[in-house]
Amino acid sequence: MTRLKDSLQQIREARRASLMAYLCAGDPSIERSVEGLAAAAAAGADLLEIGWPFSDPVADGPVIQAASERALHHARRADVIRAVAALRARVQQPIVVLSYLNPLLAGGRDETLRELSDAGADALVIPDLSLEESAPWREAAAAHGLSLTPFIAPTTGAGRLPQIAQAADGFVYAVALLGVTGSAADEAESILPVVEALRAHTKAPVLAGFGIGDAQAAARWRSRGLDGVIVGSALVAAMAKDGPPGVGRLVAEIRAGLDSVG
Amino acid sequence: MSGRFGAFGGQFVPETLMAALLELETAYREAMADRAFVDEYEGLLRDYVGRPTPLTHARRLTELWGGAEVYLKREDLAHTGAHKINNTLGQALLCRRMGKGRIIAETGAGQHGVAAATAAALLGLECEVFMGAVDVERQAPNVYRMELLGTRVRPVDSGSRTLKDATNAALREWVRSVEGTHYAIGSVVGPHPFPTIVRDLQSVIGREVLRQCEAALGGVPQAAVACVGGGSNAAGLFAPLAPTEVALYGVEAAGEGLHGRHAATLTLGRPGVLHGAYSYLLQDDDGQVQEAHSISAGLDYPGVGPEHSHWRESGRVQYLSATDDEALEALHLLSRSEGIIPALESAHALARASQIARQLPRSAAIVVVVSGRGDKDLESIRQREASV
Repeated sequence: MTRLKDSLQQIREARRASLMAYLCAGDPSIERSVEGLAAAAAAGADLLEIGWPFSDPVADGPVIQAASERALHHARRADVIRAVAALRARVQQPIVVLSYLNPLLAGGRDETLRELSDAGADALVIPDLSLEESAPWREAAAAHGLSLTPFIAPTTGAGRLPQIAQAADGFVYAVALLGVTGSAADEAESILPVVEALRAHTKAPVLAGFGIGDAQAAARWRSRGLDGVIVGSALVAAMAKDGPPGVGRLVAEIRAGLDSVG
Repeated sequence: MSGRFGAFGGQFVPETLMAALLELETAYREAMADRAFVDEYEGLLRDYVGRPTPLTHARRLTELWGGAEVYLKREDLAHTGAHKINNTLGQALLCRRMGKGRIIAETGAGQHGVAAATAAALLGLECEVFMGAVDVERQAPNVYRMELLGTRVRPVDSGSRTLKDATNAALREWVRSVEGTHYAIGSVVGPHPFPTIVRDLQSVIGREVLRQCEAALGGVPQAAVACVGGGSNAAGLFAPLAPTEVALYGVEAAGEGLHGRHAATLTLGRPGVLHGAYSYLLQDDDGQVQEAHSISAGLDYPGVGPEHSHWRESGRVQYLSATDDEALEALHLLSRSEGIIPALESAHALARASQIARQLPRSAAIVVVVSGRGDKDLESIRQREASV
């Protein structure tokens, strides 16, 4: 968690935007997915998000669903944890593990969080863990030195923001549209008023994800005042097409797009 | 409303959906306290669905089994041919009350899809139903029924291409369209408040059973049996009977047998999170959800309603299972002995009821819910039996 906080603090002081790069562990193999994220790090990603494949990824669109299905042909629990450790051996950046709840539950909550922490993870993103159900997980994550990332969405009511802000011990994940990952961009920008309202309650950086897949989109969100962006489906597609070098190229483009905004 | 049944239930959904769940809980609580809403709902159950559905004394079946007097709760006689309409009318009314013009639904056998399409047509709502591609194939008549009713059926080609993935697809669509759309979930599954709402709307089954047994027997029966996939007809039967001394039995689909492919979630699963709730689940050691199997598309689901998990843990309900072959045999038996062709789902309840009835004296009575009629299954049964 210290690594995450320090990293976010340095980015803030340098007045840079954060770029978090996502790939699914085990797509197409554990080794290649680790290579892909290492390539993302080398190309300018600040945070590396490694996805734990799941049979029923309800928050994901077709690109990440397919990646998850490919990974599940061979990636078991131990392989995912091994991927985190292998990535930690290669990069300095904070590692964020994205997993739906059930794979984390199946091995025992505390045991799984301890293993992830020991492997070198810094934070968790759990898309199907609502604020309402998060208290025991927040406690367990903290006990193992992991940050548990809270979400805001375009539908988030003002009444929930103080609690969300209070839970933000790293960054806040802003779902940039109504829909699943990899959807077409939301022209209405309906998340912006929620981000604005959240700022009254926390100084934690807010990163936008969902539907952000190229330099232009990233620059647009930066100029709208977001502290950074999360890129998933587009990198998964680049990985499938051109492997780790393709991931590196797209990350470099998005980095340049973000940095072009003052 | 607490949203928990012992340790089970909860709201395990993306943040995007939380506002809609909170809105639904408030709307439901206010609607149930609104006499006009309840009158409209009950009026529809009476004049449109045809409730109360009969409690039929199955005399020949009683003779054949030689145990307790067998009574059939005839949900097959409800409009659209199954209990599902009790739920969809209530949810469609709630949808309209919340000012939403569109409902979406998932369906396995197509019975919930048809019921959702029917309620949408009646109330002038737009409707889309997600259905696994495998089920679109094996339940073709229901696909056409939904289309006749003005509903768009969206085949789902991901994963197991059955009910589990249809539910994933419906949840994804709800995340996209949540501001103007109500997700009319078809069973006592999903995040709070759905398991409570669907149980309440289906509880008309159990309330009528209590009233009808009072009239026919002068009291409660000794046992009551229902099939369990997600578990909505069973929850509707059990909830009003749970405070009585009636022995309650839920029957899951054992598919090809408990050592093969099956859908016996409460019998062989363990707790986990799927589709928004913590409940029993068929899963591997890594927490990946396993594919269920049943001859009956309506029971072909790896999860189960959280209240059933609670009833299992508390011991209030005993959960059994019946194989594909046992269900088929029971379907034939009821057809020939009573002139009632049950849905394959309901046939699972009948298959186990035969043993429960035989263990009871003739002075006892057993109620079995015939949750739906078998018309939708005729083609798949005919094909299966022609190939044997």
